[in-house]
Amino acid sequence: MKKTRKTMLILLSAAMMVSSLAGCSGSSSKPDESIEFTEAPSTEATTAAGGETQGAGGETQEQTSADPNGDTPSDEGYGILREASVNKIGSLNPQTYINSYSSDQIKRTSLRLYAYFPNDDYTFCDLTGELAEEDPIQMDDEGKVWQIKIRDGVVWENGDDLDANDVYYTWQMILDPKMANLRASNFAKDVIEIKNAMNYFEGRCSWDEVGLKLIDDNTVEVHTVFGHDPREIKTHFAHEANCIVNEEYYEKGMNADRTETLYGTSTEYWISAGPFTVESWANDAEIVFKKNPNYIFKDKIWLAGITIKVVEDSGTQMQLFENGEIDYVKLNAETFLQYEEDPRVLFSPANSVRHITINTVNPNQPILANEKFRQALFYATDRETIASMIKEDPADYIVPTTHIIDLENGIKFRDTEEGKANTHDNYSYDPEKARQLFEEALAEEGIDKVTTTMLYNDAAPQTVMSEYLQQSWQQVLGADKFEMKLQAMPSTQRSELMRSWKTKPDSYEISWGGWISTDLMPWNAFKYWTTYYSAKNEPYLSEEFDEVFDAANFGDDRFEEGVRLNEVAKMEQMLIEPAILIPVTESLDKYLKSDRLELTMKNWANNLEWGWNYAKIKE
Amino acid sequence: MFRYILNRILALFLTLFIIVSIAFMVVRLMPGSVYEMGGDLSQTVIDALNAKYHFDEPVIKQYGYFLENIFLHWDWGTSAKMRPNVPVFDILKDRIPITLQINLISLFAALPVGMAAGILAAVKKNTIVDHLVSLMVVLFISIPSFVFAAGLQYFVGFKSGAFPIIYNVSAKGILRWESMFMPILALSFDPVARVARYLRAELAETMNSEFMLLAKTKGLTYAQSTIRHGLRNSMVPLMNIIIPMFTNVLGGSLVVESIFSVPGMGGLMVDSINASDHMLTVAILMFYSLISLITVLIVDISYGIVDPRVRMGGTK
Amino acid sequence: MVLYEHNKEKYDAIPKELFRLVQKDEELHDVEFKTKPIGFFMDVWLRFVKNKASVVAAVIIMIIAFFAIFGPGMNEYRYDEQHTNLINMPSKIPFIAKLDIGLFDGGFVLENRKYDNLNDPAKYPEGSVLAIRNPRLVSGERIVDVEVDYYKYMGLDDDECFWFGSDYLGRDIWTRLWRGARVSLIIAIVSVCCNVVIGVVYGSISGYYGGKVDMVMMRITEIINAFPRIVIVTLFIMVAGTGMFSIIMSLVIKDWVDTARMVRSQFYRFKGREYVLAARTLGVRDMALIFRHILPNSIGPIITSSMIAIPSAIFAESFLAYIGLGLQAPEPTIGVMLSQGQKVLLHYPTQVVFPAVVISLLMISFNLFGNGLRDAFDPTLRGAE
Repeated sequence: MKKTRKTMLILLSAAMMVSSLAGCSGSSSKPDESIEFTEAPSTEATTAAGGETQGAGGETQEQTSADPNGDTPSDEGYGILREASVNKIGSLNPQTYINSYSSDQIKRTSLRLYAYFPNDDYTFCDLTGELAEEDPIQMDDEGKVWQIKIRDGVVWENGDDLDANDVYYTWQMILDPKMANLRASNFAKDVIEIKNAMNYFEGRCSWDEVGLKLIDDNTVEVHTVFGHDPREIKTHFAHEANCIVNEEYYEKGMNADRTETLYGTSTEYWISAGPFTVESWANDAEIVFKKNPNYIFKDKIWLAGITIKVVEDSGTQMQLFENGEIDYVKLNAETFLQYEEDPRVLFSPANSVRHITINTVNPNQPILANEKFRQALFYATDRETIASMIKEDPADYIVPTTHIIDLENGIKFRDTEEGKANTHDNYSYDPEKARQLFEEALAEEGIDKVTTTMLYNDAAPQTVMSEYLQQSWQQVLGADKFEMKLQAMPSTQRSELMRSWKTKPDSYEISWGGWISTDLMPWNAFKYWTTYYSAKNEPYLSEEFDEVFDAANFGDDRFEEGVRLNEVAKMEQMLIEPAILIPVTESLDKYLKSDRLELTMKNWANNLEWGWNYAKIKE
Repeated sequence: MFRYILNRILALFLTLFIIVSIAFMVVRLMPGSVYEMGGDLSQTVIDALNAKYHFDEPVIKQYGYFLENIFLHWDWGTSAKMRPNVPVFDILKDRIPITLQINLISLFAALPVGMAAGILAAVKKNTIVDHLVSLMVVLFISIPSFVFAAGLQYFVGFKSGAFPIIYNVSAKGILRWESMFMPILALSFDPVARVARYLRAELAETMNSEFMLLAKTKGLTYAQSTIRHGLRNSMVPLMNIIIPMFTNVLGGSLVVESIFSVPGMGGLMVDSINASDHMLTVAILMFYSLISLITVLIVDISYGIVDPRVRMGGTK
Repeated sequence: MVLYEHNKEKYDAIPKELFRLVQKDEELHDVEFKTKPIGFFMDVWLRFVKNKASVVAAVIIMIIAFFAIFGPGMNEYRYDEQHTNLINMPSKIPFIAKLDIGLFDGGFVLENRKYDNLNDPAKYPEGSVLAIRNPRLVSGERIVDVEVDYYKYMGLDDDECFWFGSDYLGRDIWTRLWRGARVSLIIAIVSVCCNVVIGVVYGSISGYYGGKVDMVMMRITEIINAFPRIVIVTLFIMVAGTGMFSIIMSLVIKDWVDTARMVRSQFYRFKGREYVLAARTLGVRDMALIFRHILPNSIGPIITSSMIAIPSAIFAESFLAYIGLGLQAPEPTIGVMLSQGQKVLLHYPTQVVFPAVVISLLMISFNLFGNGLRDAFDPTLRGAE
């Protein structure tokens, strides 16, 4: 296979050499084809002809002649997808996982009631039942009682049946007060709020009162606090924390007090049911997945397996990629400069906006509470320059461009009139206005100089952005009146320190934030700024904001045309108008993909990104 | 002698206890609480978790629980974040073998090489051999380890393809050793240089002393006098640099580990400190101190064996 | 005698008057020295200058110190001056560039470029392309590596140049490097001085008194040694904020232990010597014994190790920078620059090469300088060749 291809290439290039004579004479007339380029003509000829022939027939012909994948995926699949990751999987237990990277791997090996799949033409995601047979069935008029039918014949890796009892057991465990699972709140209250779930978790009521019922072996029932539509129910149960756990293994890892379980911490305490099974797992170093021949949608999986190595150094990752040892690699801003024009680069919006957050309750810096001061910073931020340095997109808004407000018609929030109204010319960079606001703020506070400190992660791109802003803000606002010091910190410690403002109001002054949010429900993404959200970065407590949020998420009229759109626009405006936070750029991941890997997804899609799980290996 | 060793072992446990206690307090002084982290955790869950692991109680009380668990159940707690619910020593158990393997091999490979180079340089003082050794020493010490490691990886691993770019955790037998070669090499530069430099300096000084003259006068050959008298005397200070080297090599390999993707202790320590995984951090600190305490103990005891003039326990 | 025996008659014949006593009236004296007496430091100096390598090392240290003081002022850039449109520039020194040896000429290889864009003057200004390498097909696209004169590529005038290139914010690396060297040297020298003072006093007391005192003192050092630098520096940053003080303190707190252990072992070696016993028998007090009679023996190792400790402290500082606990930006240190450069090692090697060369030079020089000093100071070598 490989050989034929090589010979072909040699033949092709030989053919090109011959034809290059013509190319030679033609190209020498070009203006910048000066003396230095002695080798340029032949170069051009080789590549030129190669491109033509390859495009014309070579490649396609070869592929159709021997596609090892066949027309439909076999039970074993074909080819191993090799990945490298800087993150480590702490635990595969869906109820205690720590980072979103772990949750991605949990999704690869577990089943949820509902999940996102590529649609038929592989251009967008489809939210359909994975373990659930069909959409939830509404049992009352208000939309507060829902029944979910479980598929027949679903099995665990070891052949045991997976039915409604497993789902029910999972629910019992995730809310168990003694276990105090990290992810309990993601299950109890997110898109929907399950009746009495949090009360049970806090030990205030018995299990019988919780709105989760087992009807029969194939049916479960959910009671919610508010009325919902099927999509909201489905979205809620598509969350990673809802992956089904196996009773036998869960109990096997349980300690004597029933407070902790080792479930999902090693192969010994793990059993899969999802698209892939765990073949081997060396903690914090390597995990090997194998295609699950019993998976419900095994027809969607082409790969025979996935190998993930933990490689923390990005330079090492690049070398592995160039050496053909991994199939795709994430590019950082510096590396990207060298691959800017490479056709293998894939862009992947990260569903989040990097923003500056301001601690308005810091007792040492009363000026941070001054709206005009914050606005001055908002207008003094040159987002385009920052974006060009870190190779992302400038943003003076909060809802990222990928977020879809109207799913039926596929309308993105940023494309709507309401969305556009929240953005300004020049990405809100207006030094004049900033200076003026700053002067007013100084006058209001009765001081003549501001000295503040910005806390940031010591990794790019925050280093670049912070060091740039330190200078540019000072230039815009005047070095004699504004001074900003920088303090770097490792990322986890920084976010912990930031969030301790509740107990220590002087924990930070200015820092960075960025939430990854549900991109098909932009209204849900605003939960981070409601008063009842606990892991808040900034002390923004506004009842007015809560009202709009509740209306958008649980209000009676929320399904009506344009209501949610207005409410999302209003929430965004409420945050950026008084500069509660200062959006800077929209994060954008860049990947480099090898030719060996063929993506089935035609484009980047919400929730699926480039659909690595559904890719093919061709060789 | 026996009483002295017994005393020292008792002192070791006392020191270890003090270290663990201080470590327990210190990690709780570090910024941030355990569960104030990213992700959408509700306050109820955070409160519940803090209550479950007693993080909401005064430090002294937490310390009480900590000691109680250790002394009554030999339970050092479970990891909170790195690998939730896994007992801390199980995590260490996964990491220690590879760290020890790589570091000990590099150290034990480095010692004879460094000593040979040092002796050679001292014996042939101020000749071309001496200068070459000095040059090697200076290069090995003065080039930062990550430059060395990254260079090795790039040229030997990536460009020439002679050895795997990263450590291969799942390979068995010869493949695994092959993938361990470069990290071991990268780690051994520093000890080689240090040992060679120190030994040369010490030996050169010893060679000048009267007893060496006497040794030669009474008819010993150059080699005999150097090895029996000179070397033995130079070993005492050498022991002193081997101790910190041993502990350094265990803790300082973070950079090499991260470049060659070795799942070792260096990365674990930084990660767990950064993640505020208190119990794990305490366990790691305990592991490190235990290693360094034992090394110091062994070295102190061997003092008496290597240099008869220095009997331990002697007062002024 | 034989001579006399054989010529007895001849000698006896000499009259007695011809003989007289020498030096009958004058006293006997030593010849007075014509030269001035050589003091201890003169002696040290004389022996030091004999060691050519050390002298060269000292000169290199002085050159680096000179640049550390005056280097940042040598061009028009300030250390924190950002050129956001000129980031990651390669190095270019005008007069070396004219020599055309392929170094410091602002040349740079742009990898993975589309061949079709080469003729676009907006992207590649006139004369910026120097060579085209490695043509290949990637996913059906014609891709080449282009060697360009990066300064022309960015559309700069000929006279504008960053001698050592620029970093991720377009700051001049030359200026930052020397300013960084200055800061790093200050951190290192201050911390090493503190180390030596604390370590020598502690180690002397511990080594001299031995017994229980030693036991307790050494256990304390073990406890201190048990805490990794990252823990200590994090705590200091919490108390005192990121800055020189925290970093110096974190270096001092751990490193004096090594000095102390070394001094202690020297004391163990020498305190049992006969001359110490003799001095003690003569009633010399403890403090005098420690500092006048025993400590000078350790001066060699102390000097060598503290000379080595200076670049090691710069290393340690770079480790802190590597894990993100370095000095407050935008203040550069060699460590900060090294760790920053390591991240882009593959693509912009110059960003790590220059700081690495400076730290390596410092390390080599201090090493050799320390060796020279040690030989010069060592009392046992006094007068020996």
